[in-house]
Amino acid sequence: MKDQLLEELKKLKGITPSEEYRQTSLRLILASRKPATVKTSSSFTLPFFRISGLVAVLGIVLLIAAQKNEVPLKLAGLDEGSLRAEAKELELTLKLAEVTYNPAKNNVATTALQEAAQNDTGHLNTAVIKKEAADLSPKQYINEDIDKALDEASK
Amino acid sequence: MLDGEEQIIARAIRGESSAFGSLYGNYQPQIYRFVYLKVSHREEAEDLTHQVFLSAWQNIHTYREQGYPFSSWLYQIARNKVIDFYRAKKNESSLDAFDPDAFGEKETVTERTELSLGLEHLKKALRGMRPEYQEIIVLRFVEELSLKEVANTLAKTEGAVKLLQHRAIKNLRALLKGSRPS
Repeated sequence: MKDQLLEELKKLKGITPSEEYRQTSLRLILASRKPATVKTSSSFTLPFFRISGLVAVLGIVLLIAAQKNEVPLKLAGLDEGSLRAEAKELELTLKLAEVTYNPAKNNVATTALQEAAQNDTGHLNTAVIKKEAADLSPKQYINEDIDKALDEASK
Repeated sequence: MLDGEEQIIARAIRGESSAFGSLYGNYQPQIYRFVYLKVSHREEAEDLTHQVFLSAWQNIHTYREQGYPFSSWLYQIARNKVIDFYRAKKNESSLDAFDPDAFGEKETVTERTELSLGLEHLKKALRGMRPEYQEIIVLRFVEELSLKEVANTLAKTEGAVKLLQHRAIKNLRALLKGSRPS
């Protein structure tokens, strides 16, 4: 009985849509908009990754080549030769400044030493000290007119 | 399964209408049968089948080869469309939709004692089955898909499909005899 049932079920395979419906339906489906990812993957995503990938590969090649000095970089700011020349010039300037500074300092020091050797402890001489003390004496600042005026006022 | 189906699907994913036309030509009849045996109305079956393939065309990029046929993917879309169809119809259902013939109510005692295997009777019996049983019967015995294909389509294990198949046959036989489904 089961076999008979299965045979009958297979007969249901005879159910088919009409040809006219099939054609119309397919035409309408294909006339609808295209699958979304076909647009996104082909027109935006893939080119984006292709271009960015290409740029990355070019960058790596340039870096490797620069390291091996196979491709000298022409950019002024990145030119190794010009950078070295600038560095050398800076060193020379510093040395010249030192050369002009050091002799002047040397002369001052020499003069001071010579004076100290000649005068010995002249700057500690008593006469000089007395003279300086006299210069600082308060008598120097006494005004006689004021004194007279004060005396008259006190009488 | 179509010869060179993988390449055809790849071309269809790239947007080639002719490739999708090939897939449509090959699978449309069986999807139509599957839908028709579930909804029982030609116009509704045509409309739903159209929606299935329209959806497939617009979402073909989501199909990924997972070791089972393209048809399984189409059946899954069809199942969802039918579920949506009945959900939408649920609120509209009335006593008019009830067909007593589907349960052999009008059959005579004599007719009930012998299996009536006329195609119309068979279709009515199928209509009276649970959706899950309907699908098993149609996929396994009408479309003659393998257990593996049916399991993939229904997202079940092969063991579960075997069990369901046994119950579905028993249920169908009971319906054909005119008794109520268990």
